[in-house]
Amino acid sequence: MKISQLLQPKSGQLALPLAIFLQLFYVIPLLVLIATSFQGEGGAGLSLKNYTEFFNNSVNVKVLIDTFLMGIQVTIVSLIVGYPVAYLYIKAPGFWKGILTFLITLPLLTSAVVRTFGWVVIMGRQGLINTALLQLGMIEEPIRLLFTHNGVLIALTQVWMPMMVLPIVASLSQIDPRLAAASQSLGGGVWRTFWQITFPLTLPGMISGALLVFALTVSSFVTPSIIGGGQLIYLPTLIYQQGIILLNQPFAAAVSTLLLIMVVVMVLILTALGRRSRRYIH
Amino acid sequence: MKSVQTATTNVPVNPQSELGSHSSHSLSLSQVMHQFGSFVALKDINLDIRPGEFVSLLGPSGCGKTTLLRIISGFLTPTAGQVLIDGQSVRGLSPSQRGTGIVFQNYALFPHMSVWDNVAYGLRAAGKRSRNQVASRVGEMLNMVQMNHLAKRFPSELSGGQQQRVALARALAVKPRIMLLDEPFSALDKSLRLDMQIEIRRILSEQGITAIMVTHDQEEAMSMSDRIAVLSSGTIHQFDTPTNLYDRPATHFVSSFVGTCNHLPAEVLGHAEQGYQLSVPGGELAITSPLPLSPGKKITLAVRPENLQVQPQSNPSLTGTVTMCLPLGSLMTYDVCLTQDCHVKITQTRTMGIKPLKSGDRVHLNLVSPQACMVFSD
Amino acid sequence: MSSTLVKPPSPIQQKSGNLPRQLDKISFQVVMQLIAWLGLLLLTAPSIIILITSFSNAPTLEFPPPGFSLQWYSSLFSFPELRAAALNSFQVALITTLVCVVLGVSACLAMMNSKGRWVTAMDALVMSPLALPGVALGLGMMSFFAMVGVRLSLFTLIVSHIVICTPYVVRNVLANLTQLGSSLQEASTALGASPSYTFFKVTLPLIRPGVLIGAFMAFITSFDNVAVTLFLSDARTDMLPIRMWSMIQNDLDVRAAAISGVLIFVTALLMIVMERFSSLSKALIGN
Ligand SMILES: Nc1ncnc2c1ncn2[C@@H]1O[C@H](COP(=O)(O)OP(=O)(O)OP(=O)(O)O)[C@@H](O)[C@H]1O
Ligand SMILES: [Mg+2]
Repeated sequence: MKISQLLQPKSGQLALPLAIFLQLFYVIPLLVLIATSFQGEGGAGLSLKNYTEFFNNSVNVKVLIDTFLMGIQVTIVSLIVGYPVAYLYIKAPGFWKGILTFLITLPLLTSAVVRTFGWVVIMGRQGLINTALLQLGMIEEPIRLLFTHNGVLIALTQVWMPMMVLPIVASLSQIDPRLAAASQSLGGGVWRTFWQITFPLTLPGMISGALLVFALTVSSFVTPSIIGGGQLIYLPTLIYQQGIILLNQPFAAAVSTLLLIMVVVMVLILTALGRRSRRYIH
Repeated sequence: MKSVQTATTNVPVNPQSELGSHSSHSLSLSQVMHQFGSFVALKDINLDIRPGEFVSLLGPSGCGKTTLLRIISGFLTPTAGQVLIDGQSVRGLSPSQRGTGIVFQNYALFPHMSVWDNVAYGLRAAGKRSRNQVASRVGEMLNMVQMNHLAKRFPSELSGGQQQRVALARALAVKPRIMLLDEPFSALDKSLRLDMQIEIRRILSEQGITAIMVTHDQEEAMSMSDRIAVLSSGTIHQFDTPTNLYDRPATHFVSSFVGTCNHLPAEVLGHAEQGYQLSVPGGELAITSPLPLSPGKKITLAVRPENLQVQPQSNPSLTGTVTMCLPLGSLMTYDVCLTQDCHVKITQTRTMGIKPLKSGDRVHLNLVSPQACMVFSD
Repeated sequence: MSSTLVKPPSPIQQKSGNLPRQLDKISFQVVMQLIAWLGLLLLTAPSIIILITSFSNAPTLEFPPPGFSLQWYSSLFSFPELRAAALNSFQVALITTLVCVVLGVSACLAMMNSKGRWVTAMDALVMSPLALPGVALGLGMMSFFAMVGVRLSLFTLIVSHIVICTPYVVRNVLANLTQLGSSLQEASTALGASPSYTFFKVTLPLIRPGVLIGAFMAFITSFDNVAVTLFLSDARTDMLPIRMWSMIQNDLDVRAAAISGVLIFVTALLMIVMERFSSLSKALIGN
């Protein structure tokens, strides 16, 4: 086939290479993964063995719950902290906007390993927080921040918060500024205007941010594995241990499938919510 | 300021095409039909456009003008029917092979190319010409639209009218067989619009190029076109010269869309000397009609405001009260109330010395002549 | 608040109603600004801390550093494994980006020019790797390659990176194409240009910003990826993020801070360059 024919505007053929590539190296591997998770003893037959094994061990169940909790917590914290950041960005005058853009997007573009390393320095025994608290005499002994659930929570919030800020900025910028003016001219105070006008209108942005942050958090591997160390385990770490270190691939596949289900269900719920929240917004 | 009339006189009424210029091409549409899903956008369109003719497609928004243009240019394949250029079907020819030049509504100039490169684009794309040939053709085109001095500028550095000239030059450079213009003036302000109308009409007729222009501005269509096709909801109501369209509208829609028109419900009373006697709100009228009318038939009588005149009382005539006077330059428009729910507009030329009517005056109206009206059966 | 709403404004009442008004406004400003600055501190702290640490003259990781020197940066020069790892990562990211751009841009052209169910389906398919756990994808692809008997190599690694990086190209290019509309391409076609002439002379120059940003993000994603890379690189190939990950995890090597410093500098530099060429921030923020 000639190139000119291929580039014919109305044909969908140009999407074919990518479609085939993704079918082969993305869809099929996912199916293989799910199929592997149902593999029985010695690689033969279909069984739920891996799943029953997973749920019969309370340690595994705790990992599952911890991961889910972590996802929810990080989402909520980055919403609470990220919203004002987005608000500040929108209201900032030109020069500051440039700086804020840089501050918000640089973390997004630097590698998660680097950023997590920063947290190690901050939270370590001889790190920033402990040194400061010791110097101030507020504590006698270094407190433990690394290898704790809250330490992981803080680090993950930092890592994924830009994903919350960006969609909120996008939906804040779509709000007609006359709406807030109208509300205030009708006597609504600043808080009232915020809760009744601005906040509801940015629901779609918050929901798409929440969707991303939750999915990315429960899928995070680098940050929990460094900050959580060997003791605190989340689903991705469990998959890595089982799949690569213990070479128990069917079990790792079962854990992966559970993680996939968690992400997909949450994405579906939030997408449905997002669709509902978009109804008043043209 | 120039008026619309000047535009018409500036334009050669008799295009070269009649002399059989070999560079002009004819265009025909035969039973063209187009559906978007189940929505019928165009139904049974037949149109024969003579070589060198300038035709306007006139109609309200959403009637299918752009759709028809896209079918002619080949960006849409009609659900049924044929497009013929010089009598040959162009089915299966891609838009780049049809030889139709297009001036888009927003001009669609390539923003990353200079004026020169924009005009040269089609010549270079064809790839058959030498550098010198391209340069001389581009120079010729830019001369024609008087844009030579701005050749190095980029589209964002041009005014609306200049952008339009470039769009025209770009489309003409490749010597299209048919020129299509989609609302070419809608982005221009009024005074510039008139200049460009004259300019484009001059250039197209000099080159003897058959052109079709989409517009919903009836004045524009009337002043520029050899013939106008009036479209409404996907059908052509009338395809005729501007004067015929105005004087002899074929349908109720055309009479109201082209110019202003009073529509009066009427009933045929019987035959009069040369025509028919009608009962109309406010009185009776004698008319002639090309349609045979039988007594008792209910019809709609369409009369242009300038075809009604104030008369001393006579029979038959309409009686009413002047409710509003609107002086518009050389014309005076009155709103006359015939019955409670039936008003008519009349216009008179304002002449110094003659006292105009005033609100509350009781007047008798009649047709300027018995033929000066149209009859539509409902 | 509600009092000002209901009561008609008389001069006296307005004066007394002014204080709650002011309080309302000030409290809002204070709360919003406070959280926002806290958030910005949170966002930037790790990068800044790492930058400071990387100039430390201490032999171990401590903060604040007792003094400053460039010793850790200069130590990078006598670390050949690192150079090899960085080179590998660069190579993989470069090839991944090139393939992503070719596959992604052509798919976008097709998706842009036709309407129908398949476009929505294709969009969901291409975008979904963004939200799915990299570890699960990595495991799946590893199992798949094992099943069909392909040994892990740079090839398998690049294939997996293409899957997770294409979304960035497609998202940016598609946004650019949609914004561009189809009229310029139609104008080109009507002037007699062939589809490929139209693509190279009109479409591509005009979507270059989107392509550049998409390529930039794809490159960074590939260069920084750990989760998928762990599963799909063979044991002999050393990749930079993996090496850093294990350096940090095992012995808190201060050299990692110097590498991080280099990465932060390079990223910031690239961001500024991209901003010049194609307003990166607009693509990231202002859509
Ligand atoms: N791609 C499409 N899919 C479905 N319906 C369409 C499509 N394009 C046009 N239509 C419908 O076809 C009808 C004719 O559209 P067209 O664009 O030809 O109108 P138009 O006469 O050019 O109007 P305007 O003066 O507003 O430009 C409209 O009712 C429109 O809604
Ligand atoms: Mg139109």
